[in-house]
Amino acid sequence: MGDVKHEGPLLRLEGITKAYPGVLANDSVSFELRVGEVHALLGENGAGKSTLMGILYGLQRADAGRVLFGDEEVAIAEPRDAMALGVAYVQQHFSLIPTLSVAENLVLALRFGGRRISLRDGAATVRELSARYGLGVEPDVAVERLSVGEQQRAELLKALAREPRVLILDEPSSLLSPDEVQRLGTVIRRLAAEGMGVILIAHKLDEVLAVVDRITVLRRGRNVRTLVRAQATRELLGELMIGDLAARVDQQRAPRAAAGDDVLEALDVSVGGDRGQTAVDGVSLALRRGEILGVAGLQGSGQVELVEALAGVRPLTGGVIRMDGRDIGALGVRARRRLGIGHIPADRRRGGLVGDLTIAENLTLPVAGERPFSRFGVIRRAAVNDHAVELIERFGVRTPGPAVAVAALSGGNQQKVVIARELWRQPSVVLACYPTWGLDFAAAAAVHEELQRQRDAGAAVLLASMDLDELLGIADRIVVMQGGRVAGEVDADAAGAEEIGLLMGGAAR
Amino acid sequence: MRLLRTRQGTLVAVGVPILSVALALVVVGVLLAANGSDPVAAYRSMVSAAFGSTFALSTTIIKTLPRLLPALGIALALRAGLWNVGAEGQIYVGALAAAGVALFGPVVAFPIAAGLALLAAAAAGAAWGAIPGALRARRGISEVITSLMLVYVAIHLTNYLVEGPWLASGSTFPATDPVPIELRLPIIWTGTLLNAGALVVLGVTVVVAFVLGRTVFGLQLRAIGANDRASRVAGLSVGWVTVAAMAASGALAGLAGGIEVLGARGRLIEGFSPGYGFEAIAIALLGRLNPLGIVGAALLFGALDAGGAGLQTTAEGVSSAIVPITEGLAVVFVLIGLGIVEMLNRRREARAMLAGSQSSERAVTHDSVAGPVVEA
Amino acid sequence: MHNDFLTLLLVAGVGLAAPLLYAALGELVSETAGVINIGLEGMMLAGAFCGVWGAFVSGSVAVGFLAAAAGGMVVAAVHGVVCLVFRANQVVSGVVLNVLVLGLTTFGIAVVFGSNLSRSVATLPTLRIPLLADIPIAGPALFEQDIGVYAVFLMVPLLVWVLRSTPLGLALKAVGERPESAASLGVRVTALRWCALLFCGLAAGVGGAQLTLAGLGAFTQNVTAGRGFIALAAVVFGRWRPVGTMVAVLLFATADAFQIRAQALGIHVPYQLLAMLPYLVTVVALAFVRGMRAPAALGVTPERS
Repeated sequence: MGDVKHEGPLLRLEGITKAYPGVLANDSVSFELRVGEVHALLGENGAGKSTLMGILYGLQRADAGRVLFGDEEVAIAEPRDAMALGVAYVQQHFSLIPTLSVAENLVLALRFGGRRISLRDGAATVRELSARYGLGVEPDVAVERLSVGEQQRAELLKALAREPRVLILDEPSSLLSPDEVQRLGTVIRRLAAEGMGVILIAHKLDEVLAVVDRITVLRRGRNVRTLVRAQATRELLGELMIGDLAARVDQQRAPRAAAGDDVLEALDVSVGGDRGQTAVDGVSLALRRGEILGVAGLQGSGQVELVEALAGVRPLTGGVIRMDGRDIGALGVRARRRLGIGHIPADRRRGGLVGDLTIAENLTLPVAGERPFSRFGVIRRAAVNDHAVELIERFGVRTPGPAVAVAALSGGNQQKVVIARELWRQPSVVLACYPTWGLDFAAAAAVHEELQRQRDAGAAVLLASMDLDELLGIADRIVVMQGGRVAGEVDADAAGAEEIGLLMGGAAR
Repeated sequence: MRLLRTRQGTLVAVGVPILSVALALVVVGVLLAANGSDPVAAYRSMVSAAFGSTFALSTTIIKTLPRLLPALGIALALRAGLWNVGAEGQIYVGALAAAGVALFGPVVAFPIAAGLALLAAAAAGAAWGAIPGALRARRGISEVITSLMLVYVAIHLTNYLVEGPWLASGSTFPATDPVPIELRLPIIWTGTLLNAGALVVLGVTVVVAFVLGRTVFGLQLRAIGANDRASRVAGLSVGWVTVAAMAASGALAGLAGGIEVLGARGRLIEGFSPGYGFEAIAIALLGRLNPLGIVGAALLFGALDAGGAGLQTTAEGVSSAIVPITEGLAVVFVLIGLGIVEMLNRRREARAMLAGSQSSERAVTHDSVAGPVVEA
Repeated sequence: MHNDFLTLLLVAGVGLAAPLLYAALGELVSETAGVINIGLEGMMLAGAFCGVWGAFVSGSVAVGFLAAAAGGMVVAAVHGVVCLVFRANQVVSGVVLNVLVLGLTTFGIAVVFGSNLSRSVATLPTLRIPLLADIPIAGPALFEQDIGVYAVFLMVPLLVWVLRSTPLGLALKAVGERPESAASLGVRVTALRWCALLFCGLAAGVGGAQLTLAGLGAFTQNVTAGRGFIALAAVVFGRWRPVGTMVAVLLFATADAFQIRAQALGIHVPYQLLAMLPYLVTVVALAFVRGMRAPAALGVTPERS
């Protein structure tokens, strides 16, 4: 340690190819990491970053390609092999046991990684590493009582205790505050200075530029380019990651309809996330009649939580939601539905539909207590059935009949059921979160058509998506979310398109 | 939150329980043989004691009733994804309430008096069931432990009253005075023991089946049991349905206790339920949570109970052991059987996935429909 | 007289606590690893029966205890096969095992002894520790007991040490809290759960034998009479910690002993209401005390990948 930067390659991935059903996640990807280097792996969601790192760590197996350490080809079949080679992987979801202390977690991890140490030594190791890298982690505190940032550093510390040669950090900053991000950057530089090779999976450009030596950009499973820090600018990286967005804008699109009044307003809205972090941090936006508002963002940007808060599924921690001027922040889901909010949730299988129930039952679930679907609490089967048959026809659900369990449908048809349930009454507000996720082209197009139909009928539509093509295709106005905040607002045209990439990557406006 | 796969082929739903019961009966036969009795003769005498005469038949039905209602209640709660392990306690508080009305209630004519007592029984059971439901809904506390603990609170409360303040005067046997005739459920089949409680149970069974299949409450119940998150998104009040389901479940068990007091026993006796509420969990499972299946399973164990009494064996105690052993074995076999079916299904699905991995959009089961749980 | 009452109360309380504590500590370990045993009562009952049976056949109390341990472990093994191998729900399995064991032991006692009460067998002798047992009031309770009592109370500090300071303890907690994370660290989740479960069967079986072989010297139908459920309550009331569980068990057992002593002296106490106490305080504690939290993955068998 001490002598900075051997320029030799520590690790090389060559021609890595990995196919999943329907997707080529990695298409002959190559990657090189040098001793003492911080090397960022950059790309949109689905560019193939996590797959590539999964292969390096033995979580997945490549269909083709080689992994070389130094000049020696190695076989990595499972994480154990990777660990033995000195690879440590700090994943996005933490693997700490919440009820144990940091030291206990460390002892446990080392013990089952093949090294026995006592609890006292474990605590000493935590103190020592914490002091050396300025992590500020106490050994004896239960992990569940740490903040998200502290948990992240504890996770990092656990990886460092194995004294790895290669450290992979997957989106380390996605849950952190700006201060914590800066602190993490310092630690990363320090590690590299000691000779460790650090791979940083990221998509926030500013943070990346602050710490890296080199950057490899992936797009749709392929290498785009590898460049050194000096060559890189935010603009260039944004373009490399996303491609020529302007060219993706549909020139044939109908001119934007004139938007009407504000229907739903969010003012300074804050929402907590599943891990206790602040997922949405003071967002204000307005949905207008006859307009599709796109909400662009990467995973973890707070889109999902924002939509859930607007729909009443997730409680607000701050701010006001108004519909037609009335404060609805305290209303429950059902009350908001009655006011005319339709909600297409992010995950149709877990959050949208009840798989074991039939199509007809799913379609009437929110309104089962109302006439004509029931009288005195007794369901009127004929009415429910007729309703289902009508919606199946109107929304083009392909099924043998309304009495089929929803779980037996394909993803596209499941989504049509959700959309039918949410939109058949022509709600005045439509909240759609990732509505085309996992759908094939035809099914996605049908969803888009329906959203546009709602817009044209006067609804205020919110479309949250990670897919820029989708947003540029049908949104009238796009708000970009990043780190739980609104990073900026752009028009859905060629000029706006160029800005989106930068905003999603965290550039200030 | 999904605890049971309800969506299975009819063959599995019916075949596995029947096979399991058959296997359990074979094992019990072997046990009987090992004990020196001739299993064929033993079973023949049991069948005769359970079905051989109108009296035998009525005994079987009488023994079925206190198992059937709690089992229906447990199934109802389980459809909502809730474990009511406390039916035994709800039976006892139901019996207490019925006996309380009988001992201290207003003096009115027959159907009204009995009806009041049964209503009180159901209400007490509902309250006993609602407590774990409310703790689950409001505080997120597992209903398993709380409902189980409340069983023994109920049993000891019953013991206290029956041995103390409510003890029949001059009695050395821990029981209350007999229920006044205005409250007794009358015999409806002369020459047998069959009382009007059977009609009540029959009616309630139909109502439960109707509620589950045809009402808004039933739909909501099944919805939260299968996917509470999606139910919340759809605007259902998961907390309310949870409390209501546990209360309904408790009401059914409480009613069973009331019927025992006003019917078969004619008074409240300490320890009158030898564990009907626990057996009911086994019965609900054997009946695959389906009302008709539960009626079948409850009848089977009612018959075993009635038949056991006719069993001539050398040792006392053997006959009373037959029911719990058969029940226990049958359910263990069912659980293992369903586990095997599930494993085979998985293997088949995995093979199908491998074979058809070319197209990404296919009609597949919910196990493999992807949601946006993106690159993690 | 006053001191006498207290001394005898404590002696009886500690003696009554021992069977409960065996079962409760077993359950504590099992629940820590994420496996809940509603069938604890059945395990105890199996142990109580096998203990008497073994002692009767062999004439040796030690063999009785071994048979009891084996009996409890067999019940635990069935639970394991049903829940850990075939992934059935742990609650159903536990409830059903209680029903099954009640039937089997009733059957067994009828077959072995031809009646619903066993013949008397030898019991564990009292082992008086000189000098210490002469300490007033608490002395006899702590130092004039049988070896089964000493053993179970020594198990408490042992468990505290294992759970707090050994990798095994950490791994058990990890498996009960976040099985997926534990697996990613290389912990063999299912194997560890099997160990915890079998330990629970062993301890509960011995606890059952402690009831029949140290105290009663005989087996009757359903001799455990709900003690397994009191042990379950004690684990919850003791907040899933060894010392807390021990305190809960002592509290419950002393209340029971008080009721027995009071009756012997002709003092009227509604003993049924005292018997209700363990269950009632546990529900009340769950409802009103903050931080009563079960292991997060209790009763959940993770998907195998």
